[in-house]
Amino acid sequence: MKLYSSLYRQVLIAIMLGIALGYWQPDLGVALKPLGDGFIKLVKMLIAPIIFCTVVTGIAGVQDSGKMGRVGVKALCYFEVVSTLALLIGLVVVHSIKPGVGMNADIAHLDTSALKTYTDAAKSTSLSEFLLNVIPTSVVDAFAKGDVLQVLLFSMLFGFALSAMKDQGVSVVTFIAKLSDALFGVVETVMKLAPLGAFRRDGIHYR
Amino acid sequence: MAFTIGKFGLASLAVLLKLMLCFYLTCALFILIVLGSVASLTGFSLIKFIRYIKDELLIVLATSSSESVLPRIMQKLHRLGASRSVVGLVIPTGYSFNLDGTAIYLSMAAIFIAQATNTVLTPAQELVLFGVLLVTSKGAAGVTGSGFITLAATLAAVPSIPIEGLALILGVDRFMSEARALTNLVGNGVATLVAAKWEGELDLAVLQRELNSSKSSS
Repeated sequence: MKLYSSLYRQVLIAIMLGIALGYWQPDLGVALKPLGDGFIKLVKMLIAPIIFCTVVTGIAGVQDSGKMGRVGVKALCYFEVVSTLALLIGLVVVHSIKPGVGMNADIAHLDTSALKTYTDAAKSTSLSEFLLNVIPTSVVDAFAKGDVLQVLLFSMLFGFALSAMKDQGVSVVTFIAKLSDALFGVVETVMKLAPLGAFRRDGIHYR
Repeated sequence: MAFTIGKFGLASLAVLLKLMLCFYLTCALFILIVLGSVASLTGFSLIKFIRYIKDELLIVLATSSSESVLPRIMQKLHRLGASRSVVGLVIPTGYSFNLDGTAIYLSMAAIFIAQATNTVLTPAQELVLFGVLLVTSKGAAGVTGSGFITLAATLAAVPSIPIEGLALILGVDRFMSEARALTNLVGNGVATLVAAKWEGELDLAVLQRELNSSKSSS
């Protein structure tokens, strides 16, 4: 645990350095941003294979395939209930404290030019389109794009197939379990760079 | 930020600060009360769990990206006694559908914009807003990306609140994104342990041992 608590300290120091840079050397702060972006990219490159290995080894070990369906349905029900509670709590607080009352903003005088990128990105898709998007164009494409839900879909199907193979599939499962160990080894290495992530938010962020 | 202050003066800064404080407070209340009760019903202490994932929380705070700890949080939840199959299923889906911090943000920001622009919502319009939020907050509308984009999608679907009002909070959005990401992460961690418990895939002895060992050594 000693190593973890020292990572905690390193990240804390990096955050403070980032704030200090933002105040006194904002240009240098901006120049260091790629370090932080690099850290995020290193983690993101690992997400798809890690989900694949975890899900496949997890499901291959479950003999009862209905169990995974139950986990999925129950998890989705839990998500619904808890995030609805979150919505309601937000509504109750904002209605009782009324933080916005008194601002008297006139929408005719708002500068909305900066909003276009966000409102354009907000185009929503229909439910059928969304569900169809969970199916990747090809298995390789799911991994190449790092689309979490697409990778999850293929991993589950693959896990079920391995599980159905019983003894015949053991060598593949063992191989993927070892692959998983190796990937988590890479995660360990990458996480040592986590303090660099603090420079991702350039100095301007703190002002 | 500078733009908002320049345009509306310091009084608007005070209003925006109030919104930020309200949001932080609500996230804290949600985590302690809602997730805290869920945790104790499941049989573990939320405070100990938060302490157990403190590295991950700090990294999220530093990078303002909850994806940056996705592999690590999967590893830690497995170490806490949740089976691989449950961790592998709940964490990736939770990152898409279980966004508690984003849900709090969306409801507060939408009503804040209505209040700040002196838009009075009828009970029927409030209900419409709630209905839209139910969909957008879960990512079910296929809106990916930051909470701010989801907010834009929400307001686009609710004609009673002027979408131009987004400009009011654009400047302070980044100061709220960390609290969103932190709340989302804690929410997903708790969800995984709950789902594991429900399916008998959670080793409570391991959970207690791990949570207590991290306490004594840090």
